[in-house]
Amino acid sequence: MIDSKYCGQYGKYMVKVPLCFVFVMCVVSQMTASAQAPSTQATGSELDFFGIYAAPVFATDLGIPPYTQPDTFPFTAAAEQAFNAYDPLVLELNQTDDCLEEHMPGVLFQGDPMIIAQEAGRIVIRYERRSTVRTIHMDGVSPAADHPHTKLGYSVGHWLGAELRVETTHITGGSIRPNIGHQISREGRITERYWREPGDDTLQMELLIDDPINYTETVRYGREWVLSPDEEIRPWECASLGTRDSAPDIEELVRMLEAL
Amino acid sequence: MSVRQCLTSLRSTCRFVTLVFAAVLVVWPRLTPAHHSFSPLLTADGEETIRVLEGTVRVFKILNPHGALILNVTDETGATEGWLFELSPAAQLAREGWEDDLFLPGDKVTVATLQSSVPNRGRLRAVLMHGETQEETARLLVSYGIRGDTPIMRRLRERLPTCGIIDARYNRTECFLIDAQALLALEEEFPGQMGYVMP
Repeated sequence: MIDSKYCGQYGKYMVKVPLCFVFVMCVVSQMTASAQAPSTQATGSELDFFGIYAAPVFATDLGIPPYTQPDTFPFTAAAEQAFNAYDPLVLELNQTDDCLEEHMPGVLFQGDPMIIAQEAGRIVIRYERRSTVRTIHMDGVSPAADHPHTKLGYSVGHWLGAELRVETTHITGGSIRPNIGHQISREGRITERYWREPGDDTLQMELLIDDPINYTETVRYGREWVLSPDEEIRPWECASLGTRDSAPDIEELVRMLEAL
Repeated sequence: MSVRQCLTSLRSTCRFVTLVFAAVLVVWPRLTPAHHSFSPLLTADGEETIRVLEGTVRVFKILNPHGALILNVTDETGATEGWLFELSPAAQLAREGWEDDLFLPGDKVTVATLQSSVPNRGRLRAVLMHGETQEETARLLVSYGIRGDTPIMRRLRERLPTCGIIDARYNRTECFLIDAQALLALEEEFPGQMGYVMP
């Protein structure tokens, strides 16, 4: 036998610890959720959005800024098969040409600065990466169904309070992130949600991918930038270092580099 | 209360704690590690292959999307072959303080590289720029695999002064001054070819 007093005390302690843990986790979850969701109240002006943003300084040896993505992707059967067979050296054109233009949504994951500017009837985002320029049409007019598909697609934006929401269609498709096997088809729809919390220089983005050809439900990514007024967009003069699937032609590269 | 009752009570509490932990692990947003477009040569254990090569600089250029250092490398048989080492984009390197004249043709260097799956290509992990004489202070630049707040970077920061040419705000690459005495001490403490920049 054991004195129920001791077991009871120990048992109470063992109950209190998990309850306390659950409470703390709930609070933290709520804080995280509120940090990731747009405010229900507008900050007063959409102009808070405009300026130059850079990736946050990341402390570990990451080639690109940290981002979030689903733990598991809701692949369709065909997409799962394609993902398992994916080889960037075979399927990605940037493995043979370093100077290809950026695509949507791949450009959203790059680590270089960008400027968000308001112009008449539109928002223009200039990315340092490959000197990419995106136009976000703010006139509320959707593209015609036969609008041509391009690497950056056609983007229409609107404000939801303090949140900028951008819908992009008419893309050419490919990897969502460069050189990673998660694909988006030409029929995919990309939704970007941008917001900043009052008094915070961090620009949050939630990215939603809707593409019934590849996924059975919406796929969500997230990342952030930091307002960096002292930063600048530098020119992107590109030179390709050749294909990654065979040994480099050193003499040809030396000639090319010496001529630059 | 019997011992059995007490243990049963504790077991159910432990199960509850385990379930809570499992649920948290499932729903907690996961920070995803980055990938780069580089296809490394992997060891049988799936580790990236790091090689150390000695050579002479032919060309160094800060370029987008990757800077390029080309060396003439002499192998064990005395044969010379060209190697290409890739770096970060020019825009990033320039922000950090790298310049085109950091390496000049003819400079003698020792390079640690993350080797590509194809021959004669790699990513620049670290490069030791030897002085003209053994007494002259060398410079050690560190990049892929070491950048940021990593154990190797901390190890080097604790032991070596910096060159003062890299902007520390970005917390990425770094340049260290390394005289003959410091090099000897590092080689004794971290044996092997460029052991001081190895995992």
